[in-house]
Amino acid sequence: MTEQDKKSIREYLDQVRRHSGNRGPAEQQELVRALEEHIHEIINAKPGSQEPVDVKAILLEMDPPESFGTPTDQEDSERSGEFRRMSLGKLSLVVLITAVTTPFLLMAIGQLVRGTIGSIATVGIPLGIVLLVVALSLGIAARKERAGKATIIASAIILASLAVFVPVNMVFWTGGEETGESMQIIESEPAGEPAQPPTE
Amino acid sequence: MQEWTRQFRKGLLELCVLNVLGTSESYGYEIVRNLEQYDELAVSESTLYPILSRLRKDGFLKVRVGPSQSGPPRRYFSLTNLGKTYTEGLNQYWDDLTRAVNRLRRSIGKEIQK
Repeated sequence: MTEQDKKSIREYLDQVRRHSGNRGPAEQQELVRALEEHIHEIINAKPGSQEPVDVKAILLEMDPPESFGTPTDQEDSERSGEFRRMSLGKLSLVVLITAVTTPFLLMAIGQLVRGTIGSIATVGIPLGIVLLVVALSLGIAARKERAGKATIIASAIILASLAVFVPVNMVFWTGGEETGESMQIIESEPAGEPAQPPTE
Repeated sequence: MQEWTRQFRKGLLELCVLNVLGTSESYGYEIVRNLEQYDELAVSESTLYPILSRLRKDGFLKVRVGPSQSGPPRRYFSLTNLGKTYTEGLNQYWDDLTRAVNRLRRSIGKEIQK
């Protein structure tokens, strides 16, 4: 049997597999295996096996692949599932980038417009956290397998860390501004010398 | 007519396959060749293999894998004890059914003659 013959058999069996998807994986596999055996039995049964066997003619004599069932949506749904996972994965990445950049962007805008970052940080950082959670959820949804225990624990640790460190950071930012202001006051009144009342 | 024949043959072929395997074990291609000897019972692979698969799944057939000249190993089908009982039951029912239908046709034929 030539390579082309083997290829023709493979193609025929692939088409049968595609059309018999509604039978369930075990029966589908059994059917394809039985047909492969059947094709080889026909080839072996041909008189004068020394002569080249016309495999294409044998396959044409057999039932067309369509007769083994109707093509199910299995393949289509697998493809659409793949596409959905890919889209969710991309979306998750976009949201993650947005989540990371948004607080900094808002801080920069706040600094330019108002000259202060404290009030903007109070909006930007929670927004960033929310976006992080959304990105994480999308990322988990985009996975082919269901999220395992390890993934959930790791995600929970990351979120808990954010929940602890972000408020601490916010306090630092806000406290920093207040300290700056009080330092300015102290600078205007040098230490060691009591404030002199206006002499008039 | 065609649809009725198709449906009728569907159940009947199961009985025929069981009867073929009732005498000795056989493999797919051989069963096809066996049934081909009777014009009305000729069966194609798209009909036979799903029947074999279903009968095996239902516990009426068992499979033995044997060597083949070339290609994948040959799978020999034979009746299980359950399959033997099932076949006997089906054969009995088929005999009763054909007798009843023949009786009915004969009696109706007589009434028409009257």
